[in-house]
This record gives sequence, structure tokens and C-alpha cells, in this order.
Amino acid sequence: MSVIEADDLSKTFRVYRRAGRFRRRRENVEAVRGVTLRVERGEMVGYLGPNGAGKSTTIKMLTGILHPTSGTLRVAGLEPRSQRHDLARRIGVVFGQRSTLWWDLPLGDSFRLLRHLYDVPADRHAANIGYFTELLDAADLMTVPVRQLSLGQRMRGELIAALLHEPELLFLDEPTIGLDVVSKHAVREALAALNRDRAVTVILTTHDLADVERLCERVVVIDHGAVQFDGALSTLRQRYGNDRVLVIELSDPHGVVACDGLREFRSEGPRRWLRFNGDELTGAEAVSRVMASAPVVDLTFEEPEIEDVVRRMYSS
Amino acid sequence: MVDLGGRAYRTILVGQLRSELQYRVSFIVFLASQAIITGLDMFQIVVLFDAVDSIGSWNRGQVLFLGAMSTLAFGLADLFASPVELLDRHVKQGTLDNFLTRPAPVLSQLLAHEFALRRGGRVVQSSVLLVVLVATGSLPSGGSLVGRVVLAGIAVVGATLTFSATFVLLNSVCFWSPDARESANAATYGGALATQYPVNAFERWFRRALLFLTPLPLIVYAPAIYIARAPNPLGIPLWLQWCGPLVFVPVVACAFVVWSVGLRRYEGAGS
Repeated sequence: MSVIEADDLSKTFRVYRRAGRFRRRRENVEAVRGVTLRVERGEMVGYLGPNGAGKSTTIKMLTGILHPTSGTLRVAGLEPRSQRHDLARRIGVVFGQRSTLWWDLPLGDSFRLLRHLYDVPADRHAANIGYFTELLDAADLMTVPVRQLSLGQRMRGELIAALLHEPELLFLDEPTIGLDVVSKHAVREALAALNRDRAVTVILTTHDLADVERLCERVVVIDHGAVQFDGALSTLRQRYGNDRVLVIELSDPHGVVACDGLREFRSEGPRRWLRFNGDELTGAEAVSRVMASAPVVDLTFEEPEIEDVVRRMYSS
Repeated sequence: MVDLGGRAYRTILVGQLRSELQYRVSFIVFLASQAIITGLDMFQIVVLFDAVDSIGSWNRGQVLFLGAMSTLAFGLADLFASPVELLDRHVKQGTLDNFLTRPAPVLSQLLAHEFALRRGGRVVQSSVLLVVLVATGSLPSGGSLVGRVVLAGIAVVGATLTFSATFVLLNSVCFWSPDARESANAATYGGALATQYPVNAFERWFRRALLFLTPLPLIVYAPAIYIARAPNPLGIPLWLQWCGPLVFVPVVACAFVVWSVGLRRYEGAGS
């Protein structure tokens, strides 16, 4: 049995728009249209899509927050709508932008309160605290009030909080948004270890392609409420290219750059945006070719965003 | 088995109290100032009796008793149920989602999560006043003492539940329109003021409106007639003096239904 079984899942919102001074016009907005999805135990799935694509709506239906307008849904063998409390004990949820911790209390106090909320036996709880604080390098943070934690530290705390009741399925909505490099790394490594050692199934939405590259073998791309791609990340790459962007600043605003493998697609004053294929050229090779062809003052790489990948899916 | 969320409520409440007591000075100042400011309402009654001998044919002790009982019940509701007023913020910011992903009822989580002990000023003030009134023998003796005490307990519990349910009922509107909190406030706090005075002290039209549009006079005024051995110029029958507080039953049921429908709407529509 799959951990997630969604068949023809749809969600329609009723939106009222002003039409004249007092009149309102009712409109139906289809946020999710006929999503069918199977996720097996132990999978790590990157759930991607541009803003407003229906990502969050799907996650909210899978976690029992929103009820589907139509379609059938089973998560961990339960029906989220009618078995919300049972489902809550079997899943962990982290919303990157919202906290479930007690702002004024030490992190350890929040964990103790969550233990009571989820009825975790004391010995299991103690063992879990030990395991997860080590995994996320958070042992020193236990006595610090949450309001004094940095964003990265807090996010590690949120992740532990979501894991203490040993969920078999973990939903992460933008878990690395705004984090520093060290915390991003810690969060990614912890997720990989959890998946490897405890076979926790992970559904991850993110704007950061590096998260997906490190963690997810399978990606599901959603746009306009429907699944546009479901398969291996490498397939997505092959099919839609592995383009990277190098941004350079020339000493001469009117300078011309012409070199093999790099294509200029935008210029602004002394700045030039050059696209190259990451499979044919390494970043270092691209830099040395550009340096050889023009006087470069400064340079930086723009990492591709999910939006770019999706856009390319349409243009190709 | 239906889980009313008692365990979740206690757990979250402990966390909330501990958080609140992190700011001890702010807590004490707020609690004391609320006790004093709402206490001024009672002081106002004392001042009024300098000029008149009775309000609605009740004497000073009886009016103060009515005011204190009403304030105690409203204070308890304000302490335990008014946290539901923050529903609008949770709906707008989407933080209600956090409650929906935990294995406990949303209402009990919300009430515990936003609990503020510093709002207990009314409870402190009115309890002190009740003790003073009884200790100084400000109420006439007579009737069955046990009966009066029992009815006082029923009246306070009934009125607290009625006020609490009203908070939940009116703030459930935020599921439909998150900006409606102020209109809910007018009804809950305005209603509380109307129960502090003997009903027949008000103009006839207002009295009618109170009696027929809301059950307010029944929950405190009617039982107070019996408890305070007070005159009964409107001729409210004895059975109604005892059964008035039971108004809480339909009000609580109604609040429960409206809350459930509202929450289902949220689960259907999101924020």
C-alpha cells in the first residue's frame, strides 16, 4: 500500500470580486485540478512549482488542513478529512514561515509540552530528544528561549519538534527558506539521514534547486493546478536542459563578449548575462573562457530557480 | 469517544502561563490596572447611591451584589473564552493551520494558546467585592441560606457559560469575514454592561429589547432577586429565578454548532 494515494484530487476556491460599488461577483478558482499521485514508503519527493501553482493547496489537503472539493485521498491509510486527529499523530509538518514552538520558552520546554500533546512515552521521548538533537546539532540550544534563536537554529528546532512523535511521513514546506549556508547543510544532511536510517517518507516543497539535488530522486512538478512532470530529477534535467547563468561585469560598458559555449541573453550597462550548459562546461571552464575573451571586473553565478525549469518545460 | 481536548488544553495552558510569567512586571501592572479600572464601575454605583436611595427599587447592597455577580461571571468568561477573539489573526495569518495538524480540537488549542492570566482583573475585583458584601451583612437575611448559596453558584456558572458561548459564537464570524471582530466586541462587552444593573432601571423600550432579543436579564438578574432577597417589580416568577441561568444550554449548543460549521468552512476554503 502506498503512503500517499491521491486520485483525481481537485480543489476549487470560491472567490468574490468586486463588481460595482456594492455588488460582488462570485468566481470559482481551480487551485488544484485532477492531481493523481502515488508515494511509496521511504521515498523523498520534491514537490515543485512556481508560486500559485497549487503546491501549498495540495500539501494542505494531504495534511488534513483543507478538504478536497473532489477526488479521493488516503494518507498513511487514513482519510485526512474524517480522521484528522489520527493522521496528525502519524505525520510531521514543518511550514518554513510559521512556528509551532513557544516563543518565550526554552526550546527544551517546547519539546516537553509537545510530548504531552502527542502522548509520547517518557523513555521514547528522551531517546528521541537525544537522537534528533545530535542529528541536528541542537543540544546546546535546549535551554535557549526560542525568541533568542537565529532563524537557522529555530528551523532546526522546528524540525525536531515535528519529529518527536516519530511520524512516518514528513511534510516540509520551504524548510530552507532564508537559512544560512551552515543551517541549510545541517537540515539537508539530517533529512537524508532520517530517510536512510528510519525510512521516513519526505514530501518537500522548495524554491531551492540545491535542496532537491541533494535529497530527492523523484520530483513532481505542478503548475496551473495540474501535474506537469513526475519522474527522476535526472530525466527532468535531460529533457529540459541543465542551463546555468554566469553574470559578468565588464570594465567597458560597450564591450563585446563572444566565446564558445556561452550565449549572451541579457545586457544592462556593463553587465552581461551568459547562459551555458552545465553538462558540457564546468563553472570554472566557463569563467576561464570569458576571462580570456574580455576584460572582466566582477562575476557571479545565478543558480537556476524552479521557475526557470518550469518555464523551460513550456518553451521546449 | 469524543475528544474535547482537555489534555491538550492543560498542556498548552501550562506553556502559555510559563511564557506569560516571563514578563512579570508587565503581568502585574496589567492585572492590577484591569482590576482598578473595572472596579470603577462598582465605585460609580456607590457614588450614585449618594444621590438616590434605590435603583430599580433595589438598595445599595443589592445593586452592588448584582454588579459583582455579573462582573465575576463576565470576568471568568473574559479570562477563559475571550482568547477566541484572536481567531481573526490566526485565520488571516494562516496560523490556524498549526492547530489543524495537531491531534486535538482546534477550539481548545486556540483558547489555551491565547490564554492570558493578566486578564483576570475583573475576577479578582468582583470576588473581593462579593466577600466584602457578605462579610458586612449588606444583603437582607431570610429564605433558605443553602438555597441562596446554591443558586448563586448555579447563576455564576450559568452566566459564565453563556458569556463564554457568546464569545465563541460571535467570533466564529471570523471564519466568514476575518474583519468582523469589532462588531463581536460591541455585543459581548456591551451585553456584559447591561447585566450589571437591575433590568427595570432601564427605559421600557430598552428593557423589552433586552428581554426579547437576548436572554441577558434571565442569567443574572432573575436569580439575583432570590439570592439578594430583592424586590421584584417586574414580577418574575420563582421558577424563572431558578431556571434563568439554564439559558446557557441553548446558547452553548448554538455556539458549538456555529463554530463547527465555521471551522468546516475554513477547511473547505482556506484563509
